[in-house]
Amino acid sequence: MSVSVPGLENAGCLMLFGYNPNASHPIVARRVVKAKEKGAKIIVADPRYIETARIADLYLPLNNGSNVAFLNTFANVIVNEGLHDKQFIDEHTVGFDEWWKTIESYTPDRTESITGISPRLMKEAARMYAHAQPSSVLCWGMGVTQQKQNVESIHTLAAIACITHQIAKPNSGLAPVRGQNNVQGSCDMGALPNVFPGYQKVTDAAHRQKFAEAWGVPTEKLSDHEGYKVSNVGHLIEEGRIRAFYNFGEDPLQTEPDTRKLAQQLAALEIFVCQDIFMTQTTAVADVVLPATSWGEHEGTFGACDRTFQRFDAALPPKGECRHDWEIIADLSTRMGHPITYKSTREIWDNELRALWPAAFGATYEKMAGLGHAQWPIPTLDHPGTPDLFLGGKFTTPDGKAHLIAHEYKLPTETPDTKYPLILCTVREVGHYSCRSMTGNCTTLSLLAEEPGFVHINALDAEARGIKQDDLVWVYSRRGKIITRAEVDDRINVGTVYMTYQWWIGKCNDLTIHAVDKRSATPEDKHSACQVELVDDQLWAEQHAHEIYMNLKARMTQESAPQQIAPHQRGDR
Amino acid sequence: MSRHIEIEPSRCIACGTCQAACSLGHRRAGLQAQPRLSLYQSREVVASLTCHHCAGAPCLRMCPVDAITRDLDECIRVDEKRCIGCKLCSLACPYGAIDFSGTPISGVAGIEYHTPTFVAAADPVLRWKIGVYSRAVKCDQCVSDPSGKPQCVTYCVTKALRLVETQQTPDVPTAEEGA
Amino acid sequence: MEKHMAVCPYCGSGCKLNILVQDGIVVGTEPLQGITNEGELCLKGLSGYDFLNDTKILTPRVYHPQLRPVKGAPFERVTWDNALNFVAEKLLAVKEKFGPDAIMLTGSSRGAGNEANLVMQRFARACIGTNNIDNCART
Repeated sequence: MSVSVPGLENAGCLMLFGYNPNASHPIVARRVVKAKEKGAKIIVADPRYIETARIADLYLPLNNGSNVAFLNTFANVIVNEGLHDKQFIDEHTVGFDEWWKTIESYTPDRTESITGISPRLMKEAARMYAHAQPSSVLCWGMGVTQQKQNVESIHTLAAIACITHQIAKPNSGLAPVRGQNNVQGSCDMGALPNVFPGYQKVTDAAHRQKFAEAWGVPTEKLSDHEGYKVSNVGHLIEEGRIRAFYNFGEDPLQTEPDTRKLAQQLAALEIFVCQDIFMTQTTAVADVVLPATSWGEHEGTFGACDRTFQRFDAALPPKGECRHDWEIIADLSTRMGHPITYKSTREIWDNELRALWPAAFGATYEKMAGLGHAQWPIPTLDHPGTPDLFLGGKFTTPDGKAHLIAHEYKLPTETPDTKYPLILCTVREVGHYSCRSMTGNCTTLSLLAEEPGFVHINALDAEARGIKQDDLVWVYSRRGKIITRAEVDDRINVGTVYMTYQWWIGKCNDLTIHAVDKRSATPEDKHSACQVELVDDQLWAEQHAHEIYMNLKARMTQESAPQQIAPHQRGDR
Repeated sequence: MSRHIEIEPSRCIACGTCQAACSLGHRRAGLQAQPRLSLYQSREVVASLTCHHCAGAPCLRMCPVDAITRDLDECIRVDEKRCIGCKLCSLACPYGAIDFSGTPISGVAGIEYHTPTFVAAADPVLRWKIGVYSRAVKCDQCVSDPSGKPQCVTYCVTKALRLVETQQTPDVPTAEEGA
Repeated sequence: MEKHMAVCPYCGSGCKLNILVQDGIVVGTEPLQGITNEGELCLKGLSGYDFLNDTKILTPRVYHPQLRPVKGAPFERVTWDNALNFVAEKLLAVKEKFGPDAIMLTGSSRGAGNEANLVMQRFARACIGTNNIDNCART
């Protein structure tokens, strides 16, 4: 995020595009409510009439899968209405003329049939966003990133912020609000196939040399090309390119698209290692399970969505034979010939991050003690941290300018047809988190929402299928068929159904298409074709859903049963 | 003195934190964990709804075993131990603010191994489970909580919920002091 | 009752809270005045703590290393030495036969913390010799 979470409430306009903070980040949604009360204009562009739409000044119900057409039109209106900041464009951006060649044809009259947004509404929103004082923020979430044209949309979102000068000043710019508590952090730490910690490219020889020296290995030991992305792992196994998979704290058989296919692909691995805290559907099919300490049983730091590093402590000692994640990996590395001998997280932080990433040098454990925090870039020990990026129009490109890039609109990969007439879009549920292995084991959260989950369906679509609130229904696609409960919802659009992705029985990822874009390899989870059908015998359906859930739980218990038996000594292999 | 819970719908973000806080508070007090608030969501309004503690409370008059009582501060409460689960109060309530919940003999929510015997789409009053003694649960304004404050109000993320008290008596803390 | 400061393990908001522990059991959380949450917690921060008590509502915790001695065999509990030597041997064999890029590794964007990710990416790059390290940023 170019802006901080607290800074959101000081903006003059918040435009939420494919982002539902009330479900994904209630504590960020709170800032939206506060911003509104402080006088900010709120614009919501979303196919669903989300909670924020109710308090929004403008609500734009765009069609599913039309993001690039919408954003190009939004940009087109800004320029045609003269809402852009020519001086800022001249001084701080490059490529405007080339960019405009693509954008020029996206007039609101021409794109209304694609986006579903009237020219009048589009113009009103563009004016509200561009004119807002002192600043506007474009907030987005998975509604942008889990689409076929995700990178394309983000290029245009960034271009819109640049041409209107709604970036490069306090409390402005772009807010892609990261989903998981440390997804910003693990990206910062270089858990990405193209960069070392601190976004230092692996293809850059100078960076490789620096890290090789720090790690005491010859420079040529470090791979000079980008690695694979985890969302492609299934296909890579199928093609024989990946033979071993060390899966650390993830549950891809719940969270990745087309899980039934993925399960077959994982079975072909020569070795599948899972390091986790719970027996999950993924750890249950692993060859080796390495038990780690949980959050609450170890200390360390997390990086929040707005680049804020904070420390957390252990509340409980490790249980059983659980070891800290970093200890397990360091031990393994030592056994495999590359000794890693740290004694504490602070040592790792200081040596592996602060010493190697200049922008994080000032993020000391001392600064983050108690309620302290460190927001990067924070290059020196006395630096206060950086809530706002790009102030004064200095961008992180080699020439320091923003490069405007435009793209033509393309249709989503899978569109509805007569057999699968509905669009399936996956969304988030407020009371459960990710694969649900943590929240599903919490008494209160599982009381508030339980299996088999819900499919949100518009009243007209429900009526046409004879479906009432809370009825059990089949949802099926080309990939699979699952049973779940209907939530008849007049706040969602006709023709699209919405499911949250943490249910084991109402498992939307048995249905989703596995299509990833080439650049980011993010799956197109927001657009699959499906059909919904009422289960004729509702009592049978209740019993069936319950039975398969109990069987699945029993399987998890069975797979972890050897835990109860003391290990017999195996000869060291 | 009377007090009731008010909601500012423009602030409600339907996050359900009130329900979680309600459930946690009542479980801690040894009462049914079923939340005493429900979320109403439509295009026009979103709000969490709970008992109005009506002046002429019909539930109070319906209860055949006097398990429902009105306290000095006008709060209508159910004695879960005394309730026989006849559901008359729920039928009488014009706001649907009384729900039913019981602990199955097989344990608490989530680890029960029961066989569903009802269709979930049925009216809540008609639902039943084998071996479960369901009792009326409704808002008791967290009388048993050590803070004396409704937990939904304490933990509401946007301060959409608030406790409104009229005719303050000196020994009861005001909403501000309680926070 | 003990209080231990932490950051909520769920979404990316970065809410500071105390974990409340009594006799080794987590009994609750309380919000702190963190920079992003300012004394507020949502339902997950407020009631998402008791998985730490291994409630087994959904699925059990794993406390001991376990492995399948041959592909498809039932799990057996083993010692840490056995488990790590087994993994080391298999990974080295794959690396030997198919090269370091035949091994895929992940970081974790969840409760593990930054330091574990730093060690993991170093293990991938310096020990295995591949950049096949990624995290669940896309789902």
